[in-house]
Amino acid sequence: MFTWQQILLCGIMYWLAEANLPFVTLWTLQKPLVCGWAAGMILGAPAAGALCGAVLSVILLGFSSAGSSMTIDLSLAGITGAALTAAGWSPYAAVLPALMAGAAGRHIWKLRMQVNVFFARQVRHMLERGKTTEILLPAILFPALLALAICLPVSAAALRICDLLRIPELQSGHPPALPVIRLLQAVAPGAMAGGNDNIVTAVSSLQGILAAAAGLLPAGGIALALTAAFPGRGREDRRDRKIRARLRRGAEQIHADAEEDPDEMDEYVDPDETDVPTDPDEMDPDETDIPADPDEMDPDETDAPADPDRTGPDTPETDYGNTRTCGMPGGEKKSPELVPRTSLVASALLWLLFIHICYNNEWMMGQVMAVTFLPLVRHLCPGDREGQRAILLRQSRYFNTHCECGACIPGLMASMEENLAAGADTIVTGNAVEQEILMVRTSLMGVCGAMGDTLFQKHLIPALLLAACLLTAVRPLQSAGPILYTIAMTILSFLIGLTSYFDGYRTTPMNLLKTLEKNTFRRAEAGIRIFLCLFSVPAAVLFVRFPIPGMIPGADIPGSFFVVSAAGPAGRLPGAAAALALTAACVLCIKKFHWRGRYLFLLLMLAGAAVYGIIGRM
Amino acid sequence: MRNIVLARVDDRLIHGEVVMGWVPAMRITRIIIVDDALAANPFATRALQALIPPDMKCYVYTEQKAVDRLMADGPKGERLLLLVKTPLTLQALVQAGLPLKECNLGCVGIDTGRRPFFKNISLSGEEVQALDALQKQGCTPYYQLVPDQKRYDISAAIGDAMGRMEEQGKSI
Repeated sequence: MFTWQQILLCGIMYWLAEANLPFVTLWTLQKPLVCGWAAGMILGAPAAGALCGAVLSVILLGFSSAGSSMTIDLSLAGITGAALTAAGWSPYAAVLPALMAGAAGRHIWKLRMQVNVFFARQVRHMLERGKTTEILLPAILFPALLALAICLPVSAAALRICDLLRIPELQSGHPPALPVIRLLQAVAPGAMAGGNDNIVTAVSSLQGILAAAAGLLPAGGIALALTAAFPGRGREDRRDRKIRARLRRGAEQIHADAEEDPDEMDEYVDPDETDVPTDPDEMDPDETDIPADPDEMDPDETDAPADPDRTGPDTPETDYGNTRTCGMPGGEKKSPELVPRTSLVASALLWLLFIHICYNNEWMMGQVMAVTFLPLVRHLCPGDREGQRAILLRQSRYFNTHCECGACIPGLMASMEENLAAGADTIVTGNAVEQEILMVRTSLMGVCGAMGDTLFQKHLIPALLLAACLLTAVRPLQSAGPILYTIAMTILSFLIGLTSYFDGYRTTPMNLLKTLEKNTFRRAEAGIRIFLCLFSVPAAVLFVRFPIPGMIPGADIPGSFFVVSAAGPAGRLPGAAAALALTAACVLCIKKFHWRGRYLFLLLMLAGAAVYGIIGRM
Repeated sequence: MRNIVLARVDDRLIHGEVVMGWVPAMRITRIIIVDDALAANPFATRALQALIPPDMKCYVYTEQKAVDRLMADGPKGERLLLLVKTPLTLQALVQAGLPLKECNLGCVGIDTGRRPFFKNISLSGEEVQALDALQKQGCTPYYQLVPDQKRYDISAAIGDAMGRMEEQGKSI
């Protein structure tokens, strides 16, 4: 039986992971590799927990939780997997029950998103009534306590169920476990060797069939991660690139090409539908939808909206480049520095620590955005309670972005609020600064969210996780993988977050936009993709496990490479080749036939179980 | 007419859920955003175009221009994502003759005049009426945050909201 201390510690760990306290736990403690290892440490089986977490991490490599969506509760899956391995299950056999627990656990996230709405409304009411520092209670403390109240019993229930499924107790026919045994005897009689229905065989068959069903899933996980990182170009895009190259050669050549292939040119050369080149140096003002000179604007696109009530006040009147009437001259540091550096650091840390704690369906991150301004408002409006309240109310409006890459937005907001407090009339478009602040934060939040999610969840995290999982598969280094991964991600998260915040603070909106347009992060992504590919090959070889009866139940060594190697060194190559071939086939199915992840996984599970059943009968 | 594979209402427009969820799942090649205020806001338009994935394109149109563009034939192999901030825009497009069969509601944040409608969708009375009108015009609205999650029929929620608005109107 797990002790109450173990249950409590696992509950606290699950709470920190689920509530994202601090935010970086979303990238670290919530990953099955890390929480599996940590739960394994608490429950007395760190190596097996880390191994099960590594298998789960490889399987779930391609699943991401962008925006406010949560496909699967990764931390609950990791804890359940570790608890099952601590209860005597083999790491691969624990994978499917852990995935089921994770799938059920996503409702906890949904529940929190909904209940946090209540706290978010309290924050708004408090601000409207003129209370400022008091918002820390409903914005941070109460949602954290709510998450604790939910996570502790859920984790305890998961551990209790795993307790009931302890292998020795199942094998001895422990009464609470009997329904599970009978169910499996009914569902998978073919998996029982020789038709013997004694309980020990049933438990062995149960582990065998579950491990066989999970053994092929890593191929699907790696394939999903690779296809997400390499979306490729459609037919249209390849042709567009050709057209763009022709455009560069000059107008005469375009006409010549159009004569050669009129259909193609008619299809693509539409002066109103030209895109911004990837490389800003190649940017031709004639090719963009945004005119450099407002006088040249296409009247179709710049006319005032028909119904002014339905649109914002953002009517451009001035040049959108670097010139401004006052405040921050473009390209230079803004004029006033009202906020001391320590307050800015406090604000940035509040953002990085608590941004997800009051995440809710109505205002998303708005409330915590207001909290990050608490250290700033007394410097922006000293002694002016009304002014402080106005800033906090403005910043508590609907907001949602990526924590690290989007940290430039609160930094920029701090800088714009400084300009407003110093009496600036306008900063970007010629409108009032209050309106510009709202316009800039709304304009940037989505794109920074998309940029951050793509960089982190499609590239950085899969590459680092694969490297950590590979370390975990090497016996003496099983704990090194999750520890090094956690250290690396924590450093990266805080480094990127703080840099982004202060870059946002030091720059102007237009310069920030120009920096974003340089697409530096795309080059980083390209570099990370190389590592992702490199790590995918050994990961497929080590973690894809073919259903070989007699080798699966109870075994804790991952991978076909080692399993096949039991037959001698000559047997290693076919096993590795088969694992790579299966992964390549999965990539093909996703890219060529557009298979969805869930169907691919279902097929792999059925294939593994079927092969195991068929070979078991032979 | 352009090959619109998904029409989505999401006031964050291009966001993680769109780039990581819908774009790969629906194999989108182009994104067209329709919003009068946004089309008149070069800062926001530039920000959107700066950060879209490198293998696709994004255009921002006013409602009037969008109808012309969307009704015209598109390039072969095009798979278009139509993004709007509010159902009012979609209703205007459908009213102008764009034959949409269904529209996806992703996320609409609460703001002045909006009330919680369904999950993370908050709508004003006008926007609920727009959804009702869309439904009557043969464009079925549904809620689905990301492709991996469940698709919800929201006709009952629209009916409830319309009923509440009628009652409030009578009581006033």
